[in-house]
Amino acid sequence: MHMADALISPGVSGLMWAASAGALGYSVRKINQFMDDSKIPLMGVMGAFIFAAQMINFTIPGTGSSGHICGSLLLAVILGPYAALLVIASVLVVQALIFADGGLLALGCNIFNIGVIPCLLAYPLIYRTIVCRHITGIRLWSGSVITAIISLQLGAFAVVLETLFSGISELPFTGFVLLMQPIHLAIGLVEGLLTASVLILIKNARPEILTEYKDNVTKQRFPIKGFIITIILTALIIGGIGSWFASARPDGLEWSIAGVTDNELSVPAEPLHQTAAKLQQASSILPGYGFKTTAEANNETRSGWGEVNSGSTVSGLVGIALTLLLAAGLGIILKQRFKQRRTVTAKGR
Amino acid sequence: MSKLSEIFIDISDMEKMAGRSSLVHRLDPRCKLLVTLLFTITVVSFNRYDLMALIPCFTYPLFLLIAAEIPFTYLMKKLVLASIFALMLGIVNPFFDRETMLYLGSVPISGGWVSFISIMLRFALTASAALLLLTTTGMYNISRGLEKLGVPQVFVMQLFFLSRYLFLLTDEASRLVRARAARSFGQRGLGLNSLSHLLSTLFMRSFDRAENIYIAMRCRGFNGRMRSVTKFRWGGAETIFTVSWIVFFIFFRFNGLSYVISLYHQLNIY
Repeated sequence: MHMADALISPGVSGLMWAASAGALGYSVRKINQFMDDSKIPLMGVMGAFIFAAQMINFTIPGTGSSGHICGSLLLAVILGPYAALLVIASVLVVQALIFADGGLLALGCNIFNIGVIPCLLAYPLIYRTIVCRHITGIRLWSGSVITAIISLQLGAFAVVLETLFSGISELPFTGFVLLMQPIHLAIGLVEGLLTASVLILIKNARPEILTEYKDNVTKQRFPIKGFIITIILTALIIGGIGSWFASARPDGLEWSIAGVTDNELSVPAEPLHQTAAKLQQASSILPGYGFKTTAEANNETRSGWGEVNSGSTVSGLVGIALTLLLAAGLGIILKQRFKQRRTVTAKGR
Repeated sequence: MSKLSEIFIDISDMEKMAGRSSLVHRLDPRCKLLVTLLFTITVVSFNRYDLMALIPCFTYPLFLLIAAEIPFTYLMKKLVLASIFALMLGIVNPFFDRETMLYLGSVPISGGWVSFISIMLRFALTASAALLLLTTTGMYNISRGLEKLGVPQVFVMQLFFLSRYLFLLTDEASRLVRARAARSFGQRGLGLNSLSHLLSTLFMRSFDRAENIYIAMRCRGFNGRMRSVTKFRWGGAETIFTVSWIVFFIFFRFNGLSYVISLYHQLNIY
């Protein structure tokens, strides 16, 4: 399931982007070290393959609903974890742009949930321990199913945590977990079965694919300890900077962090805090001001927030009208000018 | 028509739109990437009860829509299709947050509904910004722009290859799916077993194709780097575009529009 921009806060998105970018950077370095040119077209075509494969549905017996393969594990087995992570990330970028799945800020979360967890955590820790060097049918089946289930459980849990810490959705933690985990247990099982059966068919037809590409990129293990320490450090840094910003403009950020830890952000950073307070005062003394700043909405009890009087309604409507006019006007003027210029140059020729 | 062939047509449409020539299309991809990112951050940073503040943000997608001559209905169709996840998670807000927040006339509206509408507005804003980035820039230029912004070349090449072979493999997959539909009877034959055979066929074809592509590329002198003759230039138009939108975003972020309106009100009163 893709995380969406609409449900994410800047703090969470920054943290997850940092984690994913770190993992991607590390993978790029590994690929540059260990991989030769011939894998570059292979990675690209495999990305297109996964993109197309995700669009092919199958019916789940007995339920009438349908599902599709996700493909992270399959890619990790065939290309090795680092190249697989890069391919998954590129597929997610394209999906974010073509279908508006997720979005630019949620991309960090999605790369982490769908790419980093299966490729860099589940694959080296679980799949390779089970399958080892002896590629047999039973090992392939059990390895794929167990790895897929665990990585999808982790991914689903990551979605829950990201949603929770962002604080845009009201879903309570337990309810959301109870909804997500069982669904992803089923999805993980199907994903594992599908991955295993495709791997076995590949093994029967072209055994060299599984042996040849398995070990050339993955000579070194992924330093999981270092990775986790880096994530925690980035969290602290972003948390620190975030809280500083949050006290300057008290909104989503402060709000979300305050939702988790009760009074972390009550410390005022003096000059910033004062200017912010001044700004708020300046904008709230005015009569007929319908949209008070969000800080006040938070500090006061919410009942006082938007008591509608005619002034605020009018200013709201005027605001909307102004926006539309502004946008349309700008667009039309620029378009006209551009057309004129185009015709002039055409005549000039 | 199967889902896959629809997607195939859809991607071709987007590429066609990206190939047009308008003021926005001609801008350096770097500045469009930058402004889209800043726009998304601006939208996401608002408080979830802040409905009115989100509305001025529609200026940006509307401007792109009009200046780049992208059909409005096309964008709306794509937004509706993509909105499912945000809708599913947003729709629970009214059930959990029932505290009355404001009155519309005499009808009380709970905080949950306000934040639900805010989620949907956020979705519309961020998703349309991403879609408009693609339809005004195109995958190829976005990858080149990312390269200029310092993204490692391996990843840029990956994006580039992916967007090139997307068409080919989606087309091939849609043929496989059509054949499977012809072979199957009702729900029979659309299950897991037939899918795994289908996927392994598609996989092996793609694998061979990648090898052939590599050989062909080697024949043409490929040595692991991509070269391009298109040169991007950051000129006056790019600077004006970027700076003026940044000014706008700061203005929106701090509720500038309502401030101006209330100032106007105050002047009228005196």
